[in-house]
Amino acid sequence: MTTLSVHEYEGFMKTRLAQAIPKQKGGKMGLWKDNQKPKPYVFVPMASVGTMGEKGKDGQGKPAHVMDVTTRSKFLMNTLDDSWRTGGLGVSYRAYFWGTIFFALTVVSYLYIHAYVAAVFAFLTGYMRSQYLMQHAWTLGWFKGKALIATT
Amino acid sequence: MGNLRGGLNAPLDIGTTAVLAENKAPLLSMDSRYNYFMKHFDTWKQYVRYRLYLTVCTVLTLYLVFTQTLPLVAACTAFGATFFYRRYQATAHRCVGSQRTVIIGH
Repeated sequence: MTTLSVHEYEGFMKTRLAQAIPKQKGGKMGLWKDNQKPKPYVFVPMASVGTMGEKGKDGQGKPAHVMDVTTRSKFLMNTLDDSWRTGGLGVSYRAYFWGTIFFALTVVSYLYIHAYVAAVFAFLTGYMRSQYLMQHAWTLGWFKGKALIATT
Repeated sequence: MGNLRGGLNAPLDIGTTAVLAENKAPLLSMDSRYNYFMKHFDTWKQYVRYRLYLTVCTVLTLYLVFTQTLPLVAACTAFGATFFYRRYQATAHRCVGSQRTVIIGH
């Protein structure tokens, strides 16, 4: 199967547009206008799992998962999910809250109880800190360059 | 697209086409998922805040009414409760209640 990366596609489009614009005198290309810029594109995977035409265990062909058509409500709720199991930006808030509490408990237990008890709370503080960073990265940072089409 | 009286639907078609042609902004726009979320994130935060204010105002109103203390403050909190309820409805309609179509490419 021939695949075309997004960069190749972009170059392909630029080449096509450059060919479409007539050259001016002196061999220089004319000024580009706004309507001649390459159009934004959506990467549409033809088969998200396995190969094209792959069949499942039941012998039936898998439908190609090309794009998700959803609503703004579902999109926002999915992004702001606060379930520890599924993950989302809501987990960042919860992890920040519990991380603050565990940090305070670390200090208090180190001063008034024992260093070994403080170590347990320190571990939990670090775990919450990592959850905070990871959920933020996979919910927001990862999608900075990913396309979304919506009604204006 | 419906039929006009008499079975003619041509004028209606022309009207719809004109609206589409004269629309200055594109009907569908593409952006990044990050930008789209951040655009509606502020609305969601407002929605959460208004919900909190609504709860506080409602509880305060009920308390002040049933204890019959500070009637002027009770009137103010009652006004706040209705006001924040409308703001809460409006913001909820724009974020968590919105059924607008969103297409996620990848």
